[in-house]
Amino acid sequence: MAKNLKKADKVKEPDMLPIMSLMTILIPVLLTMIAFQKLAIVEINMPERSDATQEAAPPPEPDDNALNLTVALAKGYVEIWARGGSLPKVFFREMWTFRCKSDNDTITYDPSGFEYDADGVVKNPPKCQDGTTMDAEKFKYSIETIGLWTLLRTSEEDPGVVQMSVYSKTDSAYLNVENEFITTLSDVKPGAVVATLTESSSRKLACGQSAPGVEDICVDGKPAISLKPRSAYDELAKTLIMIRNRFIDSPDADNIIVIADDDTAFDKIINLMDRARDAGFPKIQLAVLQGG
Amino acid sequence: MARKARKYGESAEVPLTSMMDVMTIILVFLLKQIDAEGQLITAAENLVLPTSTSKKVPTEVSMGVVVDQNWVLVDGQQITETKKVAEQDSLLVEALDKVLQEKRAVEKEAMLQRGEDAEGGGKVIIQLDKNTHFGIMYKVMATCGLSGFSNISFAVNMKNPED
Repeated sequence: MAKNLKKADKVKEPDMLPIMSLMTILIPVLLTMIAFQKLAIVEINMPERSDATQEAAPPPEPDDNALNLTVALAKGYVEIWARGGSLPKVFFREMWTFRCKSDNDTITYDPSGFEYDADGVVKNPPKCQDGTTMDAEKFKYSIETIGLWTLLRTSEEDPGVVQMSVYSKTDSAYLNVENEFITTLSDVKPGAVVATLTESSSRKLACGQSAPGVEDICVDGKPAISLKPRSAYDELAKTLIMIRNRFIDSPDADNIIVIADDDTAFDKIINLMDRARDAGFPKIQLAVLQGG
Repeated sequence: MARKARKYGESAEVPLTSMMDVMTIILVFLLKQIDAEGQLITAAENLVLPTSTSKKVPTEVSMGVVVDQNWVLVDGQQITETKKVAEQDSLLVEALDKVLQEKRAVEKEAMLQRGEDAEGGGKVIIQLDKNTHFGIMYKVMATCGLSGFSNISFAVNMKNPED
């Protein structure tokens, strides 16, 4: 009797093999359907050459109320024209950040320091932090970001000083109540009221709590903000938002023309278009700098 | 001896419960990552697309032009060398224009057969490496426009797609 009771206590494990087989089939099927990197599109109007000869048709009458907003991206500076006038140039230093395959770390180089041979192959490719040298022919494929560091220059000869700004943990530049970039870390603390370069972004800072209108700046109880070189794209975005708010009634308030040199990298054009679209200028036209 | 033989002859049962746990986690992760709508464009090889804040995704299949370091390709077919496009002064890339005009004629014919407006369509998605020069980009764009593909979009990697 006791022997029989012992046998009844033994629980039989369910047969998992069919479920395992099903999972083994499901996983490769799902893997083929996954998009690890999602692609999007950026729509554009047709390009025009600013030095192109005009057609025989008479040009349209100039509209005094038109904004005629144009952003020119040239070597070392960005310039904005609107209503026939121009704003002060925003000077920048271009910096390339590479992701090394050997140690998965990043390194930042000023591209003007690269020397090229007659075949266009770089003589001094970037060196990773672990001492390995990147492939001289393919190192450009490892560029993760092309940064434009804002420079303060007093004259044409002045090489300029890199401007710094406080950035959030999501890499957004902070602005103070006077709509100026915050340049000292101590000004970004729990209780302070700041904004970012997006519409109605004024918020109070806090540590460890998040709510509508309150931003948690901490990670693991410590502020996760950083002081970094200010991006010229951020300078540009700030000015474009200001122009948009001031000239919202213009008949061409949605339009912007982006002009660039022939050898401007596509990445910079896309970044500039992003900032223009986010600032409220969705109708983007492209043109080439005269003589470019 | 007989006892030993019986010991090795017994089938060893693999504990499947822990394997099931791992499989379930992988399955849940994959289901979370899956894109139910699918993607209408596929990133071309040999190039790195720029990253953009744009959240717009293509809603229909369009013709694809790819400009990589060496070649300009239309629907995967090599048309002309990128170097030649960079060196030419003219806005029109003739070899590309010829292929695109043929494709546009075929597209118009198909639209007419379906009873649609032949002037519609003309959509093209251009994929360029993030380091491609603006000079090459606008020549390819202008050629697309001149050959009838005037609805031009650029393919980009979406920044923070989960937002």
